[in-house]
Amino acid sequence: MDAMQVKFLAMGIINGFAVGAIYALLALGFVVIFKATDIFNFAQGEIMMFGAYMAMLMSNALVGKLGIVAAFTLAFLISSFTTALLASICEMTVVRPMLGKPVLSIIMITLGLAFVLRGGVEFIWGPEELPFYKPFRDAPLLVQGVPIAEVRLYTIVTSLILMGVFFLFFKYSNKGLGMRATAEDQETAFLMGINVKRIFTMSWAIAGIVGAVGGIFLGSTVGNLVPYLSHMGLRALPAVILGGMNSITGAIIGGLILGVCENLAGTYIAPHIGGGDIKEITSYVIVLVVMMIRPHGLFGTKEIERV
Amino acid sequence: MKTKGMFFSVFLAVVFLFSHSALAEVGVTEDSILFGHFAPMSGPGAYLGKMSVGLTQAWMKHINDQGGIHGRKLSLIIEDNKYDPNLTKTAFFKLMDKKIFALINVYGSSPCVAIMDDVQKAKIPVIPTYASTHLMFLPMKRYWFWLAGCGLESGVVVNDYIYGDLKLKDARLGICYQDDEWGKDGRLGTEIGAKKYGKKPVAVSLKRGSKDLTSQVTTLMMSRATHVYFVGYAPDFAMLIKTAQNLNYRPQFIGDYVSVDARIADWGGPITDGAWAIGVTGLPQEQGMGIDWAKEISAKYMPAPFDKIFIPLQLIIFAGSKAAQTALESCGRNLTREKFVDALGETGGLDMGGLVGKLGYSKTSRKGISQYRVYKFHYGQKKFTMLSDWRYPSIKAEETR
Amino acid sequence: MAVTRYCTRTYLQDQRIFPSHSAKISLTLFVIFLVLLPAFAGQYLLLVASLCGIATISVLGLNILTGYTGQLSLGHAAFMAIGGYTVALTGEHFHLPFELNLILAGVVASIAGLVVAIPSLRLKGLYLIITTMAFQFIVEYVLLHWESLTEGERGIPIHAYSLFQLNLDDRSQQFYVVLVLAIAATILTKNLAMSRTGRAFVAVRDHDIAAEIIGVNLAKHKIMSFIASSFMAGIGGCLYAYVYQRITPEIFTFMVSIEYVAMIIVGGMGTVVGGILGACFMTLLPQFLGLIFGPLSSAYPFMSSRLGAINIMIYGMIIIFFLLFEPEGLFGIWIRIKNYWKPWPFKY
Repeated sequence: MDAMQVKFLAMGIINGFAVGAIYALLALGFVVIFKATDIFNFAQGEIMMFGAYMAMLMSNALVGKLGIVAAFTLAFLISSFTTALLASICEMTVVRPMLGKPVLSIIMITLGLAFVLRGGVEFIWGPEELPFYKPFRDAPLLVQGVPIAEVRLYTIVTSLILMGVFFLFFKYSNKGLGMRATAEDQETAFLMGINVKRIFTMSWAIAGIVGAVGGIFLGSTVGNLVPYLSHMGLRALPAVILGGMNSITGAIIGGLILGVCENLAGTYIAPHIGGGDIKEITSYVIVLVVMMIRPHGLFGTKEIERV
Repeated sequence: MKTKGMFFSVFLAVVFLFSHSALAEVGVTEDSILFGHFAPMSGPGAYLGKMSVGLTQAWMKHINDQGGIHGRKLSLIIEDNKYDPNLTKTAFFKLMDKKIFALINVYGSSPCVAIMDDVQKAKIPVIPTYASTHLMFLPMKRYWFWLAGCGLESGVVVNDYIYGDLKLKDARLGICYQDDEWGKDGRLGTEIGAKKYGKKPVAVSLKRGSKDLTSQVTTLMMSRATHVYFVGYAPDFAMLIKTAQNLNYRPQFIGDYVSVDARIADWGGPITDGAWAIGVTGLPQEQGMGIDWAKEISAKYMPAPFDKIFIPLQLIIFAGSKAAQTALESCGRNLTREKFVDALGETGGLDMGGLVGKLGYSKTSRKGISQYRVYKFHYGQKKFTMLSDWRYPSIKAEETR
Repeated sequence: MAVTRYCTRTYLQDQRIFPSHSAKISLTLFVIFLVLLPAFAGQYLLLVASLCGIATISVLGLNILTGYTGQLSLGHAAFMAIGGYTVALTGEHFHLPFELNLILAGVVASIAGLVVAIPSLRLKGLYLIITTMAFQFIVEYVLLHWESLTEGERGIPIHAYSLFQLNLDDRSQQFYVVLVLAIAATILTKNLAMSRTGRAFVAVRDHDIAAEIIGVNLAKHKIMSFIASSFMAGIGGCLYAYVYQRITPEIFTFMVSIEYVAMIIVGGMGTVVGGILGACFMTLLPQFLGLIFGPLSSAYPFMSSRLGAINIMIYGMIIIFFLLFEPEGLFGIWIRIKNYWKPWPFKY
């Protein structure tokens, strides 16, 4: 293997991490909700898209007055807040009545929610591509001669920071412990004096924030927004399963692994099978194989069932 | 006696009604012609759907304000097909039951392919379809009039321009294509064209709606392509250019006919400066009988932003409408579908006044467009300029079969 | 599950297919109406009616798997695709008649069902959903890209060859074939649901471990339900291919799979009548919306994408509405109306 090939491989891996970081953020949103409420939220992709659109709206409105960096930062914060608000409202109105219902009903209601959100965004902003302004430079940075875009580097760093924050939050903070307790057994947690309803709303709000961050970075990477950006949510699902449904570390690692695998498969396998973007299904194939070997994912724990 | 007389008059009325309807063609009355149209109203294609409906109606208003065609006003029924072949099928039969005369300005390769055989069976003319697949005109289908950029021929033109005109012997061509009929046509054409010059291009594909092209760009970099031809939608073209910039890769990018869209500046940024595109339509800033006509109708009947011409599909829709109008006028008062189809077949060689190249319909061909131009994008002025005027590809789509 | 039968005193009564005489009469009248439909319906109406019938067959299959056995699937369209493509290949290469194709489509799809079922025995709930989703995406990908076999996006045209002098090019004949098969599927499902196997399916759904303890062979019943479900999906896919006369990968997308699950939710999970109601409702919904939004978007073309967005929202809202306010679906509403009229004019 000559130096050029090594460089391309490194490029594939680093850029794969960047895509994986967005998957990881999406997966984090899935897992946070699942951990606290046992609900699997198929609308996470739509929540992410909404966050991106909000950021676009705010930064377009503010960019003339404040300059791009300040406008973007402010837009970032406002978008995180509104997306968290939206997610909480969704939880309180639509999802909460579904607690304790069968898995399929819950999944379908979040799918229904996904349609409503996507339709809503399309209603407000229209179906066409809208440019997304961001403060990152287009010219790549060189890391040991391997080019990587500034925005991708920021994506990786931010998702790692968020991962650390949430890891510590769940491990040590009172609220985090409350969430874990709620996930374990809602009734017992309730009896122990935990405000279960607030925990539920909070978990959705956190998922909203994480989603908005993911959406903003995805929008910055792509350069334009369309409502079907939300399909990314479906692409991130395997990351959750791969890592294990109730493991935050697992979700992050699963996302990163799948991002890298996809990118390498796209680079090295796609040209040999003629036609077709193999990236579309790489993650699903990987997850199928993993499920055959470890039905609860790489980091997930097996639940013990009683009659 | 009185009742008998009444019966008789009713009988006469019925006979008159039936004999009258037997004379006229379906969808054509004394003072109107009814056209059908389907387009997606939601999802990725909705923007074009909105535009095609609006432009078709604007054109009809323009004609109706001038008194219609031979005294008949044009009207339109619209169905939402959500770009879904299943719904297109039901939409088509619904339109048929509503007794349309013809389908006008429809697009989308999978919707059109879904009803391809039904249209032939029902003998309803489609004028025109913008579905970007050679399946629409090869082999010839009597009732399908095709008007779009052919991926296959555009691919050949790319090679003709690089290896023939510019004589860049060392150029290595790569192609990045959307993995549908249109993109696959593009890949085939690029390979056929390259073979003529003794080259072999590297090909990578993307799925429509894909938001990450890193691996595609990496593959192109590894094969050291100096020219990258992209077959797909304009925003994706902008994204490809940007992804390449992010990876420090700067080949000459060449877009397909829908990429002749100044908005790539907004999506892709300054890096889009200097990109080429293979066009099948004229440019908005040009003069010409057809383009002026299109601008006039747009300005008069369309709300912003569609009151100006800025994407190729607008010009193609006007070109299709113009062809339909010419054929309807030449049919005269006694309009039937068959006569209309024959008249359309005779519009070949019609000067489109700069909208598109020479119209290619004939008795044996339904391929409306066979002339191409090469354009270059200027980021600063946000417009395209011409590198090479109307030309035929050195290998035609018909010859490849 | 809704209480559907009142005043049953013997097992024999409980095991009847028709709960009462009035049910028998009204069903017969309904079938007569359907038989007469082609006499006055246009091509469009017949096509839509056929699509309802096909959806019914397929959704009954999904209902066996999801409604009765509780195995969640978001890959039902993939099984339909397998059935449809089997027809396209056998029909176009070997010119087999329709009747044989039909059976073959079901068999091949159920083999695919078996392939999915065996590794899925260990999986439950979400993990099963993701597995079936993965299956769906992989099938979609293969159909789109294995061009030497499937011709890719352009698809394969289907020509009708028939054994019994049927003319499948004719819409009304197509409709009759679909109708007969839909009735057959309904009777079969009803019988299956009321048999020992059907009750075992329900036991697996309600609590699999408990079911195993009382002597239900879990693996066997899960696999059986997968096979039955995919067989019916295969038949549905085959009919789709004939009604469409061309099969393309885009007919059976992930969205269609979601739509099928929506059908059983809207109709009422785990009931035969609910499946039929749901299938018809969800097939007719876009047509109804088209009736409203078609003229609206002609009148206001520049609002059309907004109207389209409202369309999507309505779709989602219907799913949410049924789950929140009517978990037993249209079937629940139907039963409530029926029970309201039963003791009328007395309150109880």
